[in-house]
Amino acid sequence: MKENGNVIVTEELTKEYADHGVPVRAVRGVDVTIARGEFTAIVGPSGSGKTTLLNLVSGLDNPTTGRIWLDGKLISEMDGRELSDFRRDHVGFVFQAYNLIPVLSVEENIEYVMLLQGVSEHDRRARVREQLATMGLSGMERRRPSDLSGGQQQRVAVARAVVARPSLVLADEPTANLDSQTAVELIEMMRGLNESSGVTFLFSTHDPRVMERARRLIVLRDGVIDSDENRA
Amino acid sequence: MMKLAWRNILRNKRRTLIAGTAIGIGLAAMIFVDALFEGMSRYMIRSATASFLGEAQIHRKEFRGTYDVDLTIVHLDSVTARLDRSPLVHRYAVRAMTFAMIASPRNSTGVAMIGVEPDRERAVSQIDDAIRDGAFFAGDAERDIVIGSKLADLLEVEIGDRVVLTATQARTGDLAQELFRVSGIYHFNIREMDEGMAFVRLSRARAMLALGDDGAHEVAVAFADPQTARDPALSLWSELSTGGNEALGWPGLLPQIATILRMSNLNLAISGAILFGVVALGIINTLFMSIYERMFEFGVLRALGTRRRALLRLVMLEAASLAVVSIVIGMFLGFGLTLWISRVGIDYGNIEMGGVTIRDRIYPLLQWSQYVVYPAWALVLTTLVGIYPAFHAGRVAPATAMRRAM
Repeated sequence: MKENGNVIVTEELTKEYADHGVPVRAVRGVDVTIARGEFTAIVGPSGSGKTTLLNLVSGLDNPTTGRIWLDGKLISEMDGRELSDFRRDHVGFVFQAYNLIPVLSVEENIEYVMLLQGVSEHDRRARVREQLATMGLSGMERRRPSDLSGGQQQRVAVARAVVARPSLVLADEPTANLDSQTAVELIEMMRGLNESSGVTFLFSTHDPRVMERARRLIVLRDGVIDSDENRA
Repeated sequence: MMKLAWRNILRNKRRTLIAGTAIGIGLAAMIFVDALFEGMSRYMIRSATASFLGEAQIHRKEFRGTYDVDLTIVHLDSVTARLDRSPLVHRYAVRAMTFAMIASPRNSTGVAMIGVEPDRERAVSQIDDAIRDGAFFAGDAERDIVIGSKLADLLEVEIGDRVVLTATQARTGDLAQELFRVSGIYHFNIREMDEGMAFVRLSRARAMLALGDDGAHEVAVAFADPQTARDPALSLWSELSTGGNEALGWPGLLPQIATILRMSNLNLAISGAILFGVVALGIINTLFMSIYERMFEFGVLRALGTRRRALLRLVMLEAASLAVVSIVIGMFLGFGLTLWISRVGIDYGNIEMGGVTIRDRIYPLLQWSQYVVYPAWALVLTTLVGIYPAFHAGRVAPATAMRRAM
């Protein structure tokens, strides 16, 4: 058990893959700890390993070497099914391109993970309504993602990420496709959720205004942590 | 999952419609060809059995091969009593038959002389319906004879003319010769029947052939359900094939037709397999196109905690949904096409199959089974075909699929 109030603990984390036959070491021996309730940004230039690190700590990808504890569980040694179930119950995702399921309505997108968890319909409806209100999306339950603006879609994505009450929300460049005003509103909304519910946020970004609002800033360069600044 | 699968199928309506129509056309073709084969099969059986043969016959063993006048049915009264008791039997007719010489003042030729009971014969065969001149034993005249049109032409006789039949009697082998008056001329448009058969009363034939009061060579049977004779396990066959007699349905009497029908069924199965094979490739292609377009979505679903098995189930449900669309299209097309052709028929231009000349139009036969069996096959096969792309989708690694997304 490596919990001790931490959501993420990594140990000598390395990820290597072949890009068109050329071996790439995307993450090189990263040791990082993210405490429960943190609002942390991972920044760094393109190719610095941000996305790879997020994939590893969320259980979307397996490390070449090293170990990862998420919510006290050693996820780097879990099999596919265990990881699926673990992600379902412990991790929420926000993607750069929103990645809502286009054939599902706003309401259905938000309740999807709860359906997988087996939450009752009554509870699902209540939690969806609550999240829609929190995200300023009330009245849009029946709309399809294609009927929403980029900012609205990303707010639905955030609602989907937090509604199942995960320990950790991972967001990879969540504001990259949004205009400045919408990006700031979204990051403020995420920070509000972090403060109100205590859910841990870990996100990668290039956006200086998003970086400004992070309480901790981890700078990654060439797969190695270059600096780690706690600004709380 | 069902809702998601259904919406995914309707996401690209044009592609679904094209794929569904392709599968639907295959299904419609199977329904139509089955209906056509069934129509043709029944026509051939009816043509072969209804005119004279009957759907089943009972003889003394070896009679069919020799036409020996001595080989009469054993215990005819028991045989007819059993037929009377059977609810499966609609009608039957007792016949006495032998080869004979028929002569008019102008000509002579060999024929099959057949003694019949007119009332029973009317119910089993269609000679009465084929009468062109005169009647099929209208009165009580004991020496009436009914002959075919070509035989009448050959003998140069008309209604009312006299002819002489000469045949060998049973047991003694003596020749018997009797005078008859032509009372009816029939025309079947079947050369063998129009030229080679002459019908007299059963009582007269018995007397002429010295068969006694209950001698007969053949009992022709018509069943209440024409399909009954197709059943090789029918207990009636074994019950009547005793004491030296044999009872055979038309598949045994006309093995060439039975073989043709078996081959037709085999051809239908092979055609179906080829058709569904081609359609299966179309389904796989459609599903793969759909899967590759949505690879990032599968990554998202996996990231959110969807298990591989659930993704596999999703794609198989999509295949099943596509099958449902296809079945609706196929049943609509199949029903429409079959209904239309069943009204106008298909003219085969007098081709001959298995000794049966198809003179009339063939009308496909609509049956409930065509709308149950083939759609069920389409559903099962389409869903099974979906397993391959489904496995592909289920194997997707979230990080790989997400590389496009994150």
